[in-house]
Amino acid sequence: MKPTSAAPGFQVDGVDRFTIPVRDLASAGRFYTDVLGGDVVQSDAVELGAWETPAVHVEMSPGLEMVLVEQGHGWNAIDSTNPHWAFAIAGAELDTWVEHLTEWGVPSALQFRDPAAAEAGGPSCVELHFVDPDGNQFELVAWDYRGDARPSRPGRYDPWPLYYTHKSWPPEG
Amino acid sequence: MASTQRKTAADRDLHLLRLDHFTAPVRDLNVARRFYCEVLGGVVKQEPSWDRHNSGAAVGAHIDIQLFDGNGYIIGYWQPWGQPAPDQMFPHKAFRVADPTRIDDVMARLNAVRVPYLLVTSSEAPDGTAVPVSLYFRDPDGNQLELRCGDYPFRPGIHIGPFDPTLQYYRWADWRALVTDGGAPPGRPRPKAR
Repeated sequence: MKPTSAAPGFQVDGVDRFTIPVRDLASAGRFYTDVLGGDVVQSDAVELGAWETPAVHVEMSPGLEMVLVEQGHGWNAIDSTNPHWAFAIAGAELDTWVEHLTEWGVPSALQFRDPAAAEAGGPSCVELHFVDPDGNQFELVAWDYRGDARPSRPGRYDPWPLYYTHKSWPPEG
Repeated sequence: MASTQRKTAADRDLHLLRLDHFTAPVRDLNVARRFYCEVLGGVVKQEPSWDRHNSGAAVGAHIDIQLFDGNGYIIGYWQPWGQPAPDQMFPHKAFRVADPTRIDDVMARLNAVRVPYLLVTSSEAPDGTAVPVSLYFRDPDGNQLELRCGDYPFRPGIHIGPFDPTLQYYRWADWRALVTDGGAPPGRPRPKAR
């Protein structure tokens, strides 16, 4: 669903940042920059809670920061698909994103919201689901994807094949 | 280590264009609606439909809520598991508030509905000095939220530095008692089909 203009009554002006728990800031930083294309904008930050916890700010899309925070617990179960964070991408880049994630050892799953439109040549909405090395769930949404020869996969995707272990990421080779 | 030949997103000229949406696992969609719309001023973009759940084509349903003007909206997903523990701070969702009086407005709303919160800054300052503050609280399902204001007048009573996250805890059941049925399917959650 595309964003609509706001109605009066909102109490917040926008997203300040999203915090993401990670086991290792260096490894996670590589994922969010080299794989997802973010830019580190602050590498010596802290997040408050019971302690001051080391954190790294990464700008993921114009004006949108995700903060990687060291935390040794609280991981998502692989079949808990929420919470997750979704970013819009250009439909023309969807296939390259799939190839890119595969090259980095990140399994992904496509979900067509409107398989009939995809089979007819689009445009249609397609979601690309994957997890970061710590199991945080992400989705890339292409609203203007034009169908190709790939068989449509409507409905739900199976989250289990998306699992990989942070201990062996990034892959050798 | 990874191969030096492996291409980065920049090498491939791949970009994330904008935030599309973000989700929170919630136990009851009517509870989520009451909190995110009545307390935070959100507007429902898409009402839930249980048709696919009831037909077995999907598990669960969701309510889509716009919380601010611009890209991105929150989806409360019916998922009665996977909520954070009371002492877990991350992940959390932080929202920007430019007008400091809006922080006061939200605190008044939270007081009215008995949601505990912590107003926190990093260091002490003379009274009335504009300081960055964070208002921490949780939705009824325990999802951690924060409102961030860069210019809030310092005053006694603002907590300084680290804090006990468990002080934000309150009972989801008290909120469930305030809403009508229909925000969750009856009976136990069914396993996802293969």
